[in-house]
Amino acid sequence: MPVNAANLSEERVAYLEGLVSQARAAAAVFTQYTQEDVDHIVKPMVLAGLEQAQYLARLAIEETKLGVVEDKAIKNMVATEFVYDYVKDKRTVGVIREFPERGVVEVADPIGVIFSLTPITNPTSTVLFKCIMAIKTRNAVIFSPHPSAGRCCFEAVRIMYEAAVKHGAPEGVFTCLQGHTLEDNAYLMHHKDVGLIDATGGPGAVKAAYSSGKPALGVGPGNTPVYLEKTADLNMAVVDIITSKTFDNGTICASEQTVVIDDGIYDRVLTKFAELGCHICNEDEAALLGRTVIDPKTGFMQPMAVGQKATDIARMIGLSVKPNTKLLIAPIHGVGREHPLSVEKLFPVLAVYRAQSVDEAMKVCIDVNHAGGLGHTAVVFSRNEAIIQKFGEVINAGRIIVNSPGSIGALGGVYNDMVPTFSFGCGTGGGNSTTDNVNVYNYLNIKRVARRTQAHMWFRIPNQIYFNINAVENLRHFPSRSTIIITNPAMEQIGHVDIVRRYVPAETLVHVSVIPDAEPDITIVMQGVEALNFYKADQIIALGGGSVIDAAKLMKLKYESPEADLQELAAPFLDLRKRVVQYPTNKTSNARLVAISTTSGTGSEVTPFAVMTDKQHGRKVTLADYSLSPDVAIVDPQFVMSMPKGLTADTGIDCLTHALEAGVSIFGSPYTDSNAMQAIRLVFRYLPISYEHPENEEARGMMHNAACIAAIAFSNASVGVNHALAHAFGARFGVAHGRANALMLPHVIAFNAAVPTKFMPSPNQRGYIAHKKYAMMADLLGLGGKTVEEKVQNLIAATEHLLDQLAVPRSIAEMGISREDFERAIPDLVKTAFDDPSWRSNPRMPLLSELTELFWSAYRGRGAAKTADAAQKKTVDEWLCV
Amino acid sequence: MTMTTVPAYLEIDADQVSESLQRVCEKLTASHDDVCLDFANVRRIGPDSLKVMEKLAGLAEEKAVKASLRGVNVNVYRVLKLARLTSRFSFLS
Ligand SMILES: NC(=O)c1ccc[n+]([C@@H]2O[C@H](COP(=O)([O-])OP(=O)(O)OC[C@H]3O[C@@H](n4cnc5c(N)ncnc54)[C@H](O)[C@@H]3O)[C@@H](O)[C@H]2O)c1
Ligand SMILES: [Fe+2]
Repeated sequence: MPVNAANLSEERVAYLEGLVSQARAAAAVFTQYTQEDVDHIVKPMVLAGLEQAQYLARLAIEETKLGVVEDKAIKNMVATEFVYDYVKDKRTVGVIREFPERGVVEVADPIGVIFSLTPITNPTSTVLFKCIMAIKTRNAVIFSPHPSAGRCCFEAVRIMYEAAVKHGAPEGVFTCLQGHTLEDNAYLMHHKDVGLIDATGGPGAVKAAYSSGKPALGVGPGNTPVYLEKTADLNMAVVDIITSKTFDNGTICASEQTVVIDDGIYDRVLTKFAELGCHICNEDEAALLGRTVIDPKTGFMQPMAVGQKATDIARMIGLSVKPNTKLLIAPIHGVGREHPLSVEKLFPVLAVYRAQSVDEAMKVCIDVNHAGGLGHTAVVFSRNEAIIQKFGEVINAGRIIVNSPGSIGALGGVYNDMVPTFSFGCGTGGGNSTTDNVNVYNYLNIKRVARRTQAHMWFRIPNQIYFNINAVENLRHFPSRSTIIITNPAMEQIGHVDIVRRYVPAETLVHVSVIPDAEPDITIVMQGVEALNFYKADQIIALGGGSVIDAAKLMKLKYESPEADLQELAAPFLDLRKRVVQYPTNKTSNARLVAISTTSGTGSEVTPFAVMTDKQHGRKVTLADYSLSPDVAIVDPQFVMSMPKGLTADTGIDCLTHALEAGVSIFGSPYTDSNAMQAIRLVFRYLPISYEHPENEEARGMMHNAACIAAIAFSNASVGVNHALAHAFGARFGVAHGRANALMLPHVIAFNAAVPTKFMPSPNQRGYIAHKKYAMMADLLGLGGKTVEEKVQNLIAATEHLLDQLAVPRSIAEMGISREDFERAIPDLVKTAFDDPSWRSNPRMPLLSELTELFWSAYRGRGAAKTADAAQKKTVDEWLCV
Repeated sequence: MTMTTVPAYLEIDADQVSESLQRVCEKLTASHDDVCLDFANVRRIGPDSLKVMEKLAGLAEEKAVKASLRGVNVNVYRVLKLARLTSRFSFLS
């Protein structure tokens, strides 16, 4: 039943408010302290605690009547000296950790006011521990001790407080409730000025803390299982268990509760326990213990037994044992309500279980763990690493103590290198927020100051690119036993295949595989793979446009790694370096891919992309990975002389689009910019000539280079929203890729040059720069203009002028697509364009409404942009040699 | 004709913050003038000073005069914020 603080008297409320406002003021003042100030206070507090360790132990025993004075004194020393040893060099104020390589700095901030409940079992040690943590972290604490340990805790708080204030801590930093009730606790747990509740105590206190709705550190109850495995050092194990279970008469909640012993060593272990002063109960005695020290109604331990000596418990229940008996050991045959001793017993009564196998032992330990001790502590004694590891995996405990005592082991710092604590976080299993040994870091708000970092960028291209007329002769330098030329019918007819064959070394067996004149699909790819396998090819020469080269890339992939799943590899991704699917690195065959492009547009001969048609789903998918890049690219203009006008225009504009988009891409870098800018310059200069004078070798050669250079740029910087729009529109209305790009191009430049409605996150850029990049391109082209805006307008005008020269329709409408058909297609077009990965590198994030508007602008057509004035137009024309 | 009251400028002594503040309280009790406390030399404040600041805020409110603080450093400002006192004073740079 929830405790209601509304019943508190006015005076009591005033008293509690006084405590809070005092703590709040102290905490506020404390924020000004430096690390040195704090460390200067902590040391004398620790010394004062050590000085008074025995005195406080006596007070605790007198008041609580639980435990052993010597052990309590030791606990007080651990709580001060060991905790100090852990915290003394730790930074807990201001910058506490720096990760220069990640640009991250951690800064510690205090919590403010902590409301802290302390238990009856470890009363003064818990207070000492928490006081040291609080000062080290610049927090103020209001203590609420267990009512049966109020006086000793008050005294412990007083000793700590006086030492702290004497050395400069703010007044009011610690207070301790006196004569308090659950209503007081409820009032403070809900108080707006309390920042954290640190509840070390029984399940009631912990539950109340977590139910308050405040951030809370709570600890769960324990029921420590111990697996004593046959390879263990038995002498050590038995002594450790006795040491631990008798420590402060078993009041530490991490102490051993049930020891599960392998059958082969069971009798020997019990004999050792007996030899060292433990009483081994027979079945009747065990049953008597079970009836008496465990409450038959609740199934929990009887409070009267908690922290009592074994001999006193024996006397209480009428069991005859030798004087100085250390432990009462009772065999059990299972776990659960029918086996009362299988639960937590915070007194020197230990259950033992004989296990026939490792499996059985682990299962019983799991049962004990789940019988009230989830998330707390477990112990294993073994020399078998595999068993220790398995135990660590299957047991749900924040602390898994290996070959050492459970209780003292869990406290940390004595038998192991865990953090010293008096609060054991039990994770979600114990209803807690942490599995930590609660420590100073749980008393801090750790802030991360994260500096802007620059993501690593890359610039990758095939390591051999041969260009200029007759570059194909370089094929002579590539030895091959068996080569397959992948090409399409047109290349055979024109005679290109013969030229290529001429330069393949004479000893090479050459086979020509002619694939249909279409974008590749899985059937075409698999046919090619069959041929590659049949001829055991070690070289593939792709001779054709983007479609042929892409087909060859995919054939190589499936030939070298037959298990590669093309559908899976086409999965979407945001960042190449972090994507989910990985391309295969295991290869069963190896073939060199030489790409000879016969169009001047896609630049597929150097790109890491391959576009494939997925006929089953009626869509195009793009595979992207640097492993797809051809090994050798041959950019020989003799193969493009035969391109008809339309193809020259469309592929040329595709090339320009690649360069313009890579130029403003958020993945752009000085490396890609240099290529993008040069490609733009070459296209504006040589595309009109290639188009008008197809026989002009220089112009053809420069356009062929431009396509390759633009592809180098977009292979590393990617493209943008123009491609997303063109892919959607081209697929829907069967319009060639380059032409679809052309229809969108002026509108996209205008869109990207305007102030974005939505910015694209781009850690590698300082501010929005797309319009400035366009202005730079206009300058490079010598288009004139004074302001950035004028330059952008001139670039748009020059682009439109180029499109006019190439006889690209001015609008989608002009292509004969009716308004009604277009309007009907718009929802699908927008959806497809939005799903297209191309725009993820666009400088401006397109909203759905903006994609719609861009499609409509392309429908209405170009020419809306302010045309460059007559003088400027003249310069452009002169410059473009028209 | 408009009347302007020139606030009394009072420098807070860095070594005796709470005593200085106490003196301001006394002044305020005896007059009805706005006050402006110069914190430029104050590096830190303690719990006792906070108490006096609280009292000072109460007095100013009671007398309906304006209490301004000048030159408060960021650390001290944060303390006043945590102690919920910033809304009860005005701050001058
Ligand atoms: N891999 C990449 O990086 C990349 C980039 C952009 C586009 N693509 C893809 O590339 C394909 C388009 O490639 P493309 O534009 O090179 O066209 P293409 O390869 O589809 O060829 C178009 C047509 O032109 C003919 N042809 C090619 N070269 C010729 C020549 N020299 N003389 C006469 N006719 C010739 C072809 O036979 C074909 O009929 C599309 O599938 C597109 O999605 C790939
Ligand atoms: Fe393209």
